[in-house]
Amino acid sequence: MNKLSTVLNRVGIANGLPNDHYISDTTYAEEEKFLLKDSWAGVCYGKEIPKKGDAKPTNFMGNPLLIIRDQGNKIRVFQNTCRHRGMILIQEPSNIRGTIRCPYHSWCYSLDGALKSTPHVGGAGFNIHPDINRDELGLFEIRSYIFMDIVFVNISGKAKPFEFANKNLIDRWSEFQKPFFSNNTDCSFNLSINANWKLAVENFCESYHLPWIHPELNLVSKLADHFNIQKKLQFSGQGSKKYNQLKSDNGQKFTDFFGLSSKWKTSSEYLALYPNVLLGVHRDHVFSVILQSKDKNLTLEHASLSYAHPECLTPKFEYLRQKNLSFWETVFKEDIFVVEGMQKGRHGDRFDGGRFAPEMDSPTHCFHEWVATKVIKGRQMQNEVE
Amino acid sequence: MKLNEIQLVESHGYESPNEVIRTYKCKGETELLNGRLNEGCIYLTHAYIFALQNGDPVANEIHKILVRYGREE
Repeated sequence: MNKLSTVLNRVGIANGLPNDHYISDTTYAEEEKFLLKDSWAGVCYGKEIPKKGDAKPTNFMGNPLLIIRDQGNKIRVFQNTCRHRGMILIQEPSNIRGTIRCPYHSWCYSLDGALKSTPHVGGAGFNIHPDINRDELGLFEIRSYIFMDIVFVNISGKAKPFEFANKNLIDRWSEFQKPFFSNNTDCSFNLSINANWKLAVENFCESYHLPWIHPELNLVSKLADHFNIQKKLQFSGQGSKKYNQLKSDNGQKFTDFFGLSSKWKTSSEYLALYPNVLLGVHRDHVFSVILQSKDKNLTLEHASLSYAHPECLTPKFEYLRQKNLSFWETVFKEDIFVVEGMQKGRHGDRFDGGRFAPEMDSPTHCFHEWVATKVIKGRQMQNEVE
Repeated sequence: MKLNEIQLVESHGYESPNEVIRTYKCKGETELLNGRLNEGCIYLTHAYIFALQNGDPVANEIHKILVRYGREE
């Protein structure tokens, strides 16, 4: 058994995270708090609530959330729980024309979370009572931030502001901070993996496995064309110097993002934004994957592709869109057996977290360092409180 | 109709949320005219809540009545 602190050694001599970070209920519960609730985690896409009044209930690590696009077109996230008797407010995706009405006793909330009416709280026909201060009983709003059409939340409220915490990535990809165009049909796919969510991050971070797991991808973008990218305690991944645009038989290509610098003509980058979002940028499209952890050994991957121009969503581009969707879905499906295989391998009692390939695995090690640092710090703070 | 509208309408046996709102409002106003303030405000409360839910502008009108009788804020 290694100690968590050995993860913090330099990549060449460090061990990976111990087995309990993948198979133990206790450690899973710790990571839920220290890694997922204390950070900015992705929960869904803005495109899932495209119209004003659209509401999507979801569950993040046991927390019922309600994600709403309000009448000002602002996306807000609330705890999906009535302030009266704790009833779940919205159970199915819906469009709210007016207020959110609790189906139990009909307390009503506006889309900004304010409590608008409390029928009969003072007796039948009396909707007010001196003890009920509506200003204090609005819905609990969860800190949220929209980046690359992903709705990020910070459940504990303890994270630094998103723009501050992720400034390096925002700056690195500033050229891609433009409107994205996507849909909920042939720009999305979902996969289920019998593995811990962190293994999906780890696999995504490195290009080392490319020639062995993705032979077709390796034909166009070889291992030697890739380079590591890492920013300590923030993100890590890889880039490629050989991005080839997808083309149809008649030479049709997706429209490029406007105003990109020349380096993006042939480059692409793939980064894991800790904790649970995987991102890829190319001159003509971006992709993202939100990892939804359902249990210590079960993860759902919600993938989305977005394009640079609305015409890319028209029937004219349908063939290319489906080809691109199929390409990425195939790549992510090819990874499933290794991610699930690593999960199985972590039941080996004598596995010590493994050793990293010094030149190839630094992005994965960077992620492990982040996990270990957050967990060590979280445990220390918890001990101080106790 | 949206799911919440269907639930509302089915539970009341009417054809649309608008009909539910108008029916409660009419009953409330009738009770008020007959001097039964409390019964009137109960019906108007239901009309108000469903109008709020459906973004029906009649909610403003009903709100004013309820405020006048000290039943809303």
